[in-house]
Amino acid sequence: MSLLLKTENLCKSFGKNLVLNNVNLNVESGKIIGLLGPNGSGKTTIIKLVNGLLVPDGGKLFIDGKEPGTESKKLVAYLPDNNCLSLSMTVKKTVGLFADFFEDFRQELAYKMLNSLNIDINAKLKALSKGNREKVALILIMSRNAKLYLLDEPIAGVDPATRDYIISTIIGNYNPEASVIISTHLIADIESVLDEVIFIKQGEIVLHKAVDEIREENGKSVDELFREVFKW
Amino acid sequence: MVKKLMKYDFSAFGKTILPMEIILLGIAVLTRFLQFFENDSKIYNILNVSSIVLLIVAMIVCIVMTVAICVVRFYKNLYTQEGYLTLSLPATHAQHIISKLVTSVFATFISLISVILAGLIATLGDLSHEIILAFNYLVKLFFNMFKIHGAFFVLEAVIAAVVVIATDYLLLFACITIGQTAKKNRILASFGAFFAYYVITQIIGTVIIVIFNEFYDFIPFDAISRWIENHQYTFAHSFAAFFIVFNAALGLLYFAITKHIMKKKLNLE
Repeated sequence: MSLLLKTENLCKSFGKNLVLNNVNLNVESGKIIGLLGPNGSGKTTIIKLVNGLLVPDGGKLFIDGKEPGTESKKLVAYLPDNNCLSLSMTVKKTVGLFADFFEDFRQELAYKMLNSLNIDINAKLKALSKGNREKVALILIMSRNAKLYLLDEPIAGVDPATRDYIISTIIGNYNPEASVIISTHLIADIESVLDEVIFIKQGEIVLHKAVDEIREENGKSVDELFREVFKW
Repeated sequence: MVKKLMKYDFSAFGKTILPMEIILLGIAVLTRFLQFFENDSKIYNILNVSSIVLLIVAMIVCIVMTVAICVVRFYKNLYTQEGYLTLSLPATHAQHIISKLVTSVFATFISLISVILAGLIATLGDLSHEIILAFNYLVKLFFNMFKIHGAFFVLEAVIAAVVVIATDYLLLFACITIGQTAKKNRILASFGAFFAYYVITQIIGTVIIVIFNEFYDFIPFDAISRWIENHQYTFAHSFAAFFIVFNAALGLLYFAITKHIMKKKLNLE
Protein backbone atom coordinates (compact mmCIF):
# COMPACT_ATOMS: atom_id res chain seq x y z
CA MET A 1 0.00 0.00 0.00
CA SER A 2 1.35 3.40 -0.95
CA LEU A 3 0.65 6.83 0.47
CA LEU A 4 -1.86 8.46 -1.88
CA LEU A 5 -2.75 11.62 -0.04
CA LYS A 6 -0.66 13.48 2.49
CA THR A 7 -1.42 16.82 4.10
CA GLU A 8 0.93 18.66 6.44
CA ASN A 9 -0.46 21.38 8.72
CA LEU A 10 -3.04 22.33 6.14
CA CYS A 11 -4.81 25.59 6.97
CA LYS A 12 -7.58 27.45 5.23
CA SER A 13 -9.70 30.38 6.28
CA PHE A 14 -12.39 32.42 4.61
CA GLY A 15 -11.96 35.95 5.92
CA LYS A 16 -11.79 35.70 9.69
CA ASN A 17 -13.41 32.27 9.70
CA LEU A 18 -10.78 29.55 10.18
CA VAL A 19 -12.18 26.55 8.30
CA LEU A 20 -9.20 24.16 8.49
CA ASN A 21 -6.68 24.28 11.30
CA ASN A 22 -3.41 22.35 10.89
CA VAL A 23 -4.92 19.31 9.24
CA ASN A 24 -2.52 16.36 8.99
CA LEU A 25 -3.79 13.44 6.98
CA ASN A 26 -2.28 10.31 5.49
CA VAL A 27 -4.45 8.29 3.14
CA GLU A 28 -3.16 5.00 1.78
CA SER A 29 -4.24 3.30 -1.43
CA GLY A 30 -6.87 0.60 -1.62
CA LYS A 31 -9.22 2.05 0.99
CA ILE A 32 -12.74 3.42 1.11
CA ILE A 33 -12.67 6.24 3.60
CA GLY A 34 -15.55 8.18 5.07
CA LEU A 35 -14.83 11.86 5.68
CA LEU A 36 -17.42 12.49 8.32
CA GLY A 37 -18.48 15.60 10.11
CA PRO A 38 -21.42 17.92 10.59
CA ASN A 39 -22.25 20.69 8.14
CA GLY A 40 -19.60 23.39 8.05
CA SER A 41 -16.90 21.22 9.63
CA GLY A 42 -14.51 21.58 6.66
CA LYS A 43 -15.16 18.37 4.66
CA THR A 44 -15.82 20.11 1.35
CA THR A 45 -12.91 22.49 1.91
CA ILE A 46 -10.46 19.57 2.25
CA ILE A 47 -11.83 17.97 -0.93
CA LYS A 48 -11.65 21.25 -2.88
CA LEU A 49 -8.07 21.83 -1.70
CA VAL A 50 -7.04 18.36 -2.85
CA ASN A 51 -8.64 19.03 -6.22
CA GLY A 52 -6.98 22.43 -6.60
CA LEU A 53 -10.22 24.42 -6.53
CA LEU A 54 -9.06 26.28 -3.45
CA VAL A 55 -5.60 27.51 -2.54
CA PRO A 56 -4.41 26.71 1.02
CA ASP A 57 -3.38 29.55 3.33
CA GLY A 58 -0.75 27.38 4.96
CA GLY A 59 0.66 23.87 5.01
CA LYS A 60 1.36 21.40 2.26
CA LEU A 61 -0.61 18.90 0.27
CA PHE A 62 0.59 15.99 -1.87
CA ILE A 63 -1.39 13.63 -4.10
CA ASP A 64 0.73 10.59 -4.89
CA GLY A 65 3.74 12.79 -4.14
CA LYS A 66 2.58 15.64 -6.39
CA GLU A 67 1.34 19.07 -5.38
CA PRO A 68 -2.16 19.96 -6.69
CA GLY A 69 -1.86 20.82 -10.38
CA THR A 70 -2.24 19.40 -13.86
CA GLU A 71 -0.45 16.15 -13.03
CA SER A 72 -2.44 15.53 -9.83
CA LYS A 73 -5.72 16.19 -11.66
CA LYS A 74 -4.93 13.24 -13.93
CA LEU A 75 -5.02 11.04 -10.83
CA VAL A 76 -8.04 12.48 -9.06
CA ALA A 77 -11.69 11.84 -9.98
CA TYR A 78 -13.84 14.45 -8.25
CA LEU A 79 -17.59 14.48 -7.79
CA PRO A 80 -18.69 17.85 -6.38
CA ASP A 81 -21.69 18.32 -4.14
CA ASN A 82 -23.54 20.23 -6.86
CA ASN A 83 -24.12 19.74 -10.57
CA CYS A 84 -20.95 20.62 -12.46
CA LEU A 85 -22.02 19.37 -15.88
CA SER A 86 -23.12 21.77 -18.60
CA LEU A 87 -26.90 21.40 -18.83
CA SER A 88 -26.93 22.42 -22.48
CA MET A 89 -24.81 19.41 -23.46
CA THR A 90 -26.18 15.98 -24.29
CA VAL A 91 -25.23 12.94 -22.20
CA LYS A 92 -23.30 11.56 -25.18
CA LYS A 93 -21.31 14.76 -25.62
CA THR A 94 -20.53 14.86 -21.91
CA VAL A 95 -19.22 11.28 -22.11
CA GLY A 96 -17.12 12.45 -25.08
CA LEU A 97 -15.75 15.32 -22.99
CA PHE A 98 -14.56 12.93 -20.26
CA ALA A 99 -13.06 10.61 -22.91
CA ASP A 100 -11.26 13.55 -24.51
CA PHE A 101 -9.71 14.89 -21.34
CA PHE A 102 -9.11 11.86 -19.13
CA GLU A 103 -6.86 9.12 -20.48
CA ASP A 104 -8.11 6.76 -17.76
CA PHE A 105 -11.77 7.14 -18.76
CA ARG A 106 -13.52 3.87 -19.61
CA GLN A 107 -16.06 4.95 -22.21
CA GLU A 108 -17.58 1.50 -22.75
CA LEU A 109 -18.18 1.10 -19.03
CA ALA A 110 -19.88 4.51 -18.89
CA TYR A 111 -22.23 3.62 -21.76
CA LYS A 112 -22.93 0.24 -20.19
CA MET A 113 -23.96 1.85 -16.90
CA LEU A 114 -26.01 4.55 -18.65
CA ASN A 115 -27.73 1.88 -20.69
CA SER A 116 -28.56 -0.15 -17.58
CA LEU A 117 -30.37 2.92 -16.22
CA ASN A 118 -32.21 3.47 -19.52
CA ILE A 119 -30.81 6.99 -19.77
CA ASP A 120 -31.20 8.41 -23.26
CA ILE A 121 -27.66 9.39 -24.27
CA ASN A 122 -28.97 11.82 -26.86
CA ALA A 123 -30.97 13.76 -24.27
CA LYS A 124 -29.68 17.06 -23.00
CA LEU A 125 -28.76 17.07 -19.32
CA LYS A 126 -31.33 19.77 -18.62
CA ALA A 127 -34.02 17.36 -19.84
CA LEU A 128 -33.07 14.78 -17.20
CA SER A 129 -34.44 14.68 -13.68
CA LYS A 130 -32.20 15.87 -10.84
CA GLY A 131 -31.71 12.29 -9.70
CA ASN A 132 -30.72 11.10 -13.17
CA ARG A 133 -28.31 14.02 -13.57
CA GLU A 134 -26.63 13.01 -10.33
CA LYS A 135 -26.43 9.40 -11.54
CA VAL A 136 -24.88 10.52 -14.84
CA ALA A 137 -22.27 12.57 -12.95
CA LEU A 138 -21.45 9.63 -10.68
CA ILE A 139 -21.22 7.22 -13.62
CA LEU A 140 -18.80 9.56 -15.38
CA ILE A 141 -16.60 9.86 -12.29
CA MET A 142 -16.64 6.15 -11.47
CA SER A 143 -15.89 5.27 -15.12
CA ARG A 144 -12.47 6.76 -14.61
CA ASN A 145 -9.67 4.44 -13.61
CA ALA A 146 -8.38 7.06 -11.17
CA LYS A 147 -6.03 6.68 -8.22
CA LEU A 148 -8.06 8.83 -5.87
CA TYR A 149 -11.81 9.33 -5.97
CA LEU A 150 -13.20 12.32 -4.08
CA LEU A 151 -16.94 12.11 -3.67
CA ASP A 152 -18.51 15.11 -1.96
CA GLU A 153 -21.91 14.30 -0.46
CA PRO A 154 -22.80 11.77 -3.20
CA ILE A 155 -25.85 10.45 -1.34
CA ALA A 156 -27.30 13.67 0.01
CA GLY A 157 -30.73 14.66 -1.20
CA VAL A 158 -31.56 11.45 -3.07
CA ASP A 159 -34.17 8.78 -2.39
CA PRO A 160 -33.14 5.51 -0.64
CA ALA A 161 -33.25 3.46 -3.88
CA THR A 162 -30.96 5.94 -5.64
CA ARG A 163 -28.74 5.92 -2.54
CA ASP A 164 -28.36 2.13 -2.89
CA TYR A 165 -27.62 2.51 -6.59
CA ILE A 166 -24.95 5.14 -5.90
CA ILE A 167 -23.25 3.04 -3.23
CA SER A 168 -23.28 -0.09 -5.37
CA THR A 169 -21.88 1.91 -8.32
CA ILE A 170 -19.04 3.17 -6.14
CA ILE A 171 -18.22 -0.29 -4.80
CA GLY A 172 -18.59 -2.00 -8.15
CA ASN A 173 -16.52 0.33 -10.28
CA TYR A 174 -13.63 1.83 -8.37
CA ASN A 175 -10.12 0.77 -9.09
CA PRO A 176 -9.19 -1.56 -6.18
CA GLU A 177 -5.71 -0.07 -6.02
CA ALA A 178 -7.21 3.37 -5.63
CA SER A 179 -8.75 5.05 -2.63
CA VAL A 180 -12.20 6.54 -2.36
CA ILE A 181 -12.90 9.41 0.01
CA ILE A 182 -16.60 9.88 0.59
CA SER A 183 -17.69 13.02 2.38
CA THR A 184 -21.07 12.70 4.07
CA HIS A 185 -23.05 13.06 7.25
CA LEU A 186 -25.40 10.19 6.33
CA ILE A 187 -23.21 7.60 8.03
CA ALA A 188 -25.66 4.77 8.48
CA ASP A 189 -26.08 4.40 4.72
CA ILE A 190 -22.40 4.00 3.92
CA GLU A 191 -20.97 2.54 7.12
CA SER A 192 -21.00 -1.00 5.79
CA VAL A 193 -18.71 -0.15 2.87
CA LEU A 194 -16.13 1.93 4.74
CA ASP A 195 -12.62 0.71 5.62
CA GLU A 196 -11.64 3.84 7.53
CA VAL A 197 -13.28 6.95 8.89
CA ILE A 198 -12.02 10.47 9.44
CA PHE A 199 -13.99 12.61 11.86
CA ILE A 200 -13.61 16.32 11.30
CA LYS A 201 -14.87 18.87 13.78
CA GLN A 202 -14.58 22.64 13.36
CA GLY A 203 -11.70 22.28 10.93
CA GLU A 204 -9.67 19.80 12.98
CA ILE A 205 -9.26 16.05 12.55
CA VAL A 206 -10.50 14.48 15.78
CA LEU A 207 -10.32 10.85 14.70
CA HIS A 208 -8.80 8.77 11.91
CA LYS A 209 -9.29 5.06 12.45
CA ALA A 210 -10.15 1.79 10.76
CA VAL A 211 -13.84 0.93 11.08
CA ASP A 212 -12.97 -2.51 12.51
CA GLU A 213 -10.83 -0.88 15.19
CA ILE A 214 -13.69 1.39 16.20
CA ARG A 215 -16.01 -1.59 16.56
CA GLU A 216 -13.44 -3.59 18.54
CA GLU A 217 -12.10 -0.81 20.79
CA ASN A 218 -15.27 1.18 21.35
CA GLY A 219 -17.84 -1.56 20.92
CA LYS A 220 -19.90 0.86 18.87
CA SER A 221 -20.85 1.37 15.27
CA VAL A 222 -19.40 4.37 13.43
CA ASP A 223 -22.84 5.97 13.47
CA GLU A 224 -23.09 5.61 17.26
CA LEU A 225 -19.57 6.96 17.80
CA PHE A 226 -20.30 9.88 15.47
CA ARG A 227 -23.39 10.80 17.47
CA GLU A 228 -21.31 10.66 20.65
CA VAL A 229 -18.41 12.76 19.34
CA PHE A 230 -20.60 15.36 17.70
CA LYS A 231 -23.21 15.56 20.44
CA TRP A 232 -24.46 19.10 21.04
CA MET B 1 -4.87 20.29 -24.55
CA VAL B 2 -5.74 23.79 -25.82
CA LYS B 3 -7.19 22.19 -28.97
CA LYS B 4 -9.45 19.98 -26.86
CA LEU B 5 -10.58 22.92 -24.72
CA MET B 6 -11.25 24.99 -27.84
CA LYS B 7 -13.34 22.20 -29.32
CA TYR B 8 -15.84 22.55 -26.46
CA ASP B 9 -15.68 26.36 -26.38
CA PHE B 10 -16.40 26.52 -30.12
CA SER B 11 -19.23 24.04 -29.67
CA ALA B 12 -20.78 26.23 -26.94
CA PHE B 13 -20.49 29.33 -29.16
CA GLY B 14 -21.96 27.41 -32.09
CA LYS B 15 -25.17 26.93 -30.12
CA THR B 16 -25.61 30.61 -29.29
CA ILE B 17 -23.70 32.86 -31.70
CA LEU B 18 -24.35 30.93 -34.91
CA PRO B 19 -28.20 31.06 -34.69
CA MET B 20 -27.91 34.80 -34.03
CA GLU B 21 -25.84 35.25 -37.17
CA ILE B 22 -28.27 33.15 -39.22
CA ILE B 23 -31.14 35.38 -37.99
CA LEU B 24 -29.12 38.49 -38.98
CA LEU B 25 -28.55 37.14 -42.48
CA GLY B 26 -32.25 36.21 -42.66
CA ILE B 27 -33.23 39.81 -41.83
CA ALA B 28 -30.81 41.03 -44.52
CA VAL B 29 -32.45 38.73 -47.09
CA LEU B 30 -35.90 39.98 -46.00
CA THR B 31 -34.78 43.61 -46.33
CA ARG B 32 -33.52 42.96 -49.85
CA PHE B 33 -36.63 40.93 -50.76
CA LEU B 34 -38.94 43.82 -49.77
CA GLN B 35 -37.15 46.10 -52.22
CA PHE B 36 -38.45 43.97 -55.12
CA PHE B 37 -41.93 45.36 -54.47
CA GLU B 38 -40.86 49.00 -54.48
CA ASN B 39 -43.82 51.40 -54.88
CA ASP B 40 -45.08 54.66 -53.43
CA SER B 41 -47.66 53.22 -51.05
CA LYS B 42 -47.50 54.19 -47.39
CA ILE B 43 -47.54 50.56 -46.19
CA TYR B 44 -44.58 49.69 -48.39
CA ASN B 45 -42.60 52.67 -47.09
CA ILE B 46 -43.31 51.72 -43.49
CA LEU B 47 -42.31 48.10 -44.14
CA ASN B 48 -39.16 49.10 -46.01
CA VAL B 49 -37.98 51.58 -43.37
CA SER B 50 -38.86 49.12 -40.58
CA SER B 51 -36.83 46.35 -42.19
CA ILE B 52 -33.81 48.65 -42.60
CA VAL B 53 -34.08 49.78 -38.96
CA LEU B 54 -34.47 46.15 -37.90
CA LEU B 55 -31.36 45.21 -39.90
CA ILE B 56 -29.26 47.98 -38.32
CA VAL B 57 -30.46 47.01 -34.82
CA ALA B 58 -29.74 43.32 -35.58
CA MET B 59 -26.20 44.23 -36.73
CA ILE B 60 -25.50 46.11 -33.49
CA VAL B 61 -27.11 43.37 -31.38
CA CYS B 62 -25.03 40.71 -33.18
CA ILE B 63 -21.73 42.41 -32.26
CA VAL B 64 -22.74 43.35 -28.70
CA MET B 65 -24.22 39.93 -27.97
CA THR B 66 -21.13 38.15 -29.34
CA VAL B 67 -18.91 40.03 -26.89
CA ALA B 68 -21.43 39.43 -24.07
CA ILE B 69 -21.68 35.70 -24.85
CA CYS B 70 -17.88 35.33 -24.91
CA VAL B 71 -17.50 37.09 -21.56
CA VAL B 72 -20.37 35.14 -19.97
CA ARG B 73 -18.88 31.88 -21.28
CA PHE B 74 -15.55 32.72 -19.59
CA TYR B 75 -17.30 33.53 -16.28
CA LYS B 76 -19.80 30.66 -16.32
CA ASN B 77 -17.42 27.96 -17.50
CA LEU B 78 -14.67 28.82 -15.01
CA TYR B 79 -16.21 30.48 -11.96
CA THR B 80 -19.70 29.02 -11.50
CA GLN B 81 -20.77 25.41 -10.91
CA GLU B 82 -19.41 24.40 -14.33
CA GLY B 83 -16.00 25.55 -13.08
CA TYR B 84 -15.88 22.54 -10.73
CA LEU B 85 -15.52 20.32 -13.79
CA THR B 86 -13.60 22.74 -16.02
CA LEU B 87 -10.95 23.38 -13.38
CA SER B 88 -10.74 19.66 -12.55
CA LEU B 89 -9.61 18.92 -16.11
CA PRO B 90 -5.87 18.25 -16.44
CA ALA B 91 -5.21 21.59 -18.13
CA THR B 92 -3.18 24.54 -16.89
CA HIS B 93 -4.77 27.88 -16.09
CA ALA B 94 -2.91 29.43 -19.03
CA GLN B 95 -4.43 26.81 -21.37
CA HIS B 96 -7.93 27.64 -20.12
CA ILE B 97 -7.38 31.38 -20.72
CA ILE B 98 -5.83 30.84 -24.17
CA SER B 99 -8.72 28.61 -25.25
CA LYS B 100 -11.32 31.17 -24.16
CA LEU B 101 -9.33 34.00 -25.77
CA VAL B 102 -8.78 32.37 -29.16
CA THR B 103 -12.41 31.26 -29.46
CA SER B 104 -13.70 34.69 -28.38
CA VAL B 105 -11.52 36.56 -30.90
CA PHE B 106 -12.53 34.11 -33.62
CA ALA B 107 -16.25 34.44 -32.75
CA THR B 108 -15.93 38.25 -32.86
CA PHE B 109 -14.38 38.17 -36.33
CA ILE B 110 -17.09 35.79 -37.55
CA SER B 111 -19.71 38.23 -36.23
CA LEU B 112 -18.01 41.17 -37.95
CA ILE B 113 -17.93 39.22 -41.22
CA SER B 114 -21.63 38.36 -40.77
CA VAL B 115 -22.45 42.05 -40.30
CA ILE B 116 -20.54 42.98 -43.48
CA LEU B 117 -22.20 40.10 -45.35
CA ALA B 118 -25.64 41.19 -44.11
CA GLY B 119 -24.93 44.71 -45.38
CA LEU B 120 -23.94 43.35 -48.80
CA ILE B 121 -27.02 41.11 -48.99
CA ALA B 122 -29.35 44.00 -48.06
CA THR B 123 -27.87 46.15 -50.81
CA LEU B 124 -27.48 43.36 -53.36
CA GLY B 125 -28.02 44.57 -56.91
CA ASP B 126 -27.17 47.98 -58.34
CA LEU B 127 -26.23 49.49 -54.99
CA SER B 128 -23.87 46.68 -53.94
CA HIS B 129 -22.37 46.80 -57.45
CA GLU B 130 -21.65 50.50 -56.90
CA ILE B 131 -20.18 49.80 -53.46
CA ILE B 132 -17.91 47.07 -54.84
CA LEU B 133 -16.80 49.34 -57.70
CA ALA B 134 -16.06 52.16 -55.26
CA PHE B 135 -14.19 49.75 -52.99
CA ASN B 136 -12.12 48.43 -55.94
CA TYR B 137 -11.33 52.00 -56.98
CA LEU B 138 -10.17 52.90 -53.47
CA VAL B 139 -8.05 49.75 -53.20
CA LYS B 140 -6.33 50.54 -56.53
CA LEU B 141 -5.80 54.15 -55.46
CA PHE B 142 -4.40 52.99 -52.12
CA PHE B 143 -1.87 50.59 -53.67
CA ASN B 144 -0.89 53.07 -56.41
CA MET B 145 -0.19 55.63 -53.73
CA PHE B 146 1.66 53.43 -51.22
CA LYS B 147 2.97 50.62 -53.50
CA ILE B 148 4.48 47.76 -51.44
CA HIS B 149 4.01 49.79 -48.24
CA GLY B 150 0.26 49.51 -48.85
CA ALA B 151 0.47 45.73 -48.35
CA PHE B 152 2.38 46.29 -45.11
CA PHE B 153 -0.23 48.83 -43.94
CA VAL B 154 -2.99 46.27 -44.55
CA LEU B 155 -1.02 43.60 -42.70
CA GLU B 156 -0.36 45.98 -39.80
CA ALA B 157 -4.04 46.93 -39.66
CA VAL B 158 -5.11 43.25 -39.51
CA ILE B 159 -2.53 42.43 -36.80
CA ALA B 160 -3.53 45.57 -34.86
CA ALA B 161 -7.24 44.59 -35.05
CA VAL B 162 -6.53 41.08 -33.76
CA VAL B 163 -4.27 42.37 -30.98
CA VAL B 164 -6.71 45.10 -29.88
CA ILE B 165 -9.68 42.69 -29.80
CA ALA B 166 -7.61 40.10 -27.91
CA THR B 167 -6.36 42.73 -25.43
CA ASP B 168 -9.89 43.98 -24.80
CA TYR B 169 -11.07 40.43 -24.08
CA LEU B 170 -8.09 39.85 -21.78
CA LEU B 171 -8.98 43.05 -19.91
CA LEU B 172 -12.56 41.81 -19.43
CA PHE B 173 -11.28 38.37 -18.33
CA ALA B 174 -8.93 40.04 -15.83
CA CYS B 175 -11.74 42.21 -14.40
CA ILE B 176 -14.01 39.16 -14.00
CA THR B 177 -11.18 37.26 -12.31
CA ILE B 178 -10.34 40.15 -9.97
CA GLY B 179 -14.03 40.19 -9.02
CA GLN B 180 -13.69 36.53 -7.94
CA THR B 181 -11.34 37.56 -5.12
CA ALA B 182 -14.22 39.38 -3.39
CA LYS B 183 -15.92 37.56 -0.51
CA LYS B 184 -19.39 38.25 -1.87
CA ASN B 185 -21.14 40.11 -4.74
CA ARG B 186 -18.45 38.89 -7.11
CA ILE B 187 -20.19 40.04 -10.30
CA LEU B 188 -20.55 43.52 -8.83
CA ALA B 189 -16.88 43.39 -7.83
CA SER B 190 -15.99 42.56 -11.47
CA PHE B 191 -17.80 45.70 -12.64
CA GLY B 192 -16.01 47.57 -9.84
CA ALA B 193 -12.65 46.28 -11.12
CA PHE B 194 -13.50 47.51 -14.64
CA PHE B 195 -14.55 50.92 -13.29
CA ALA B 196 -11.35 51.14 -11.21
CA TYR B 197 -9.33 50.30 -14.34
CA TYR B 198 -11.10 53.07 -16.23
CA VAL B 199 -10.40 55.62 -13.46
CA ILE B 200 -6.73 54.56 -13.23
CA THR B 201 -6.20 54.87 -17.01
CA GLN B 202 -7.83 58.32 -16.94
CA ILE B 203 -5.49 59.39 -14.12
CA ILE B 204 -2.43 58.05 -15.98
CA GLY B 205 -3.59 59.83 -19.17
CA THR B 206 -4.01 63.11 -17.29
CA VAL B 207 -0.57 62.76 -15.66
CA ILE B 208 1.03 62.17 -19.09
CA ILE B 209 -0.69 65.27 -20.50
CA VAL B 210 0.46 67.35 -17.50
CA ILE B 211 4.07 66.15 -17.93
CA PHE B 212 3.86 66.79 -21.68
CA ASN B 213 2.66 70.34 -21.05
CA GLU B 214 5.45 70.93 -18.52
CA PHE B 215 8.11 69.97 -21.08
CA TYR B 216 6.29 71.45 -24.10
CA ASP B 217 8.92 74.14 -24.68
CA PHE B 218 11.74 71.61 -24.65
CA ILE B 219 10.25 69.36 -27.36
CA PRO B 220 11.88 70.05 -30.77
CA PHE B 221 8.66 69.97 -32.82
CA ASP B 222 10.28 71.43 -35.95
CA ALA B 223 12.98 68.78 -36.04
CA ILE B 224 10.44 66.04 -35.41
CA SER B 225 8.12 67.22 -38.20
CA ARG B 226 11.07 67.51 -40.60
CA TRP B 227 12.12 63.97 -39.75
CA ILE B 228 8.56 62.68 -40.26
CA GLU B 229 8.33 64.47 -43.61
CA ASN B 230 11.55 62.85 -44.79
CA HIS B 231 10.75 59.41 -43.35
CA GLN B 232 6.98 59.12 -43.77
CA TYR B 233 6.88 55.35 -44.23
CA THR B 234 9.38 54.67 -41.46
CA PHE B 235 7.30 56.83 -39.15
CA ALA B 236 4.01 55.16 -40.15
CA HIS B 237 5.39 51.61 -39.77
CA SER B 238 7.14 52.48 -36.50
CA PHE B 239 3.93 53.98 -35.14
CA ALA B 240 1.98 50.87 -36.16
CA ALA B 241 4.62 48.61 -34.59
CA PHE B 242 4.56 50.65 -31.36
CA PHE B 243 0.75 50.51 -31.28
CA ILE B 244 0.76 46.72 -31.75
CA VAL B 245 3.56 46.08 -29.23
CA PHE B 246 2.03 48.43 -26.65
CA ASN B 247 -1.38 46.73 -26.89
CA ALA B 248 0.20 43.27 -26.88
CA ALA B 249 2.15 44.21 -23.73
CA LEU B 250 -1.08 45.37 -22.07
CA GLY B 251 -2.72 42.10 -23.13
CA LEU B 252 0.14 40.11 -21.61
CA LEU B 253 -0.23 42.08 -18.37
CA TYR B 254 -3.98 41.28 -18.19
CA PHE B 255 -3.20 37.63 -19.04
CA ALA B 256 -0.60 37.48 -16.24
CA ILE B 257 -3.04 39.03 -13.72
CA THR B 258 -5.78 36.53 -14.65
CA LYS B 259 -3.39 33.57 -14.50
CA HIS B 260 -1.87 34.67 -11.19
CA ILE B 261 -5.25 35.04 -9.48
CA MET B 262 -6.47 31.70 -10.87
CA LYS B 263 -3.33 29.95 -9.65
CA LYS B 264 -2.69 31.62 -6.32
CA LYS B 265 -5.99 33.07 -5.12
CA LEU B 266 -8.69 30.89 -6.64
CA ASN B 267 -11.53 30.28 -4.22
CA LEU B 268 -14.28 28.54 -6.12
CA GLU B 269 -17.36 28.52 -3.93
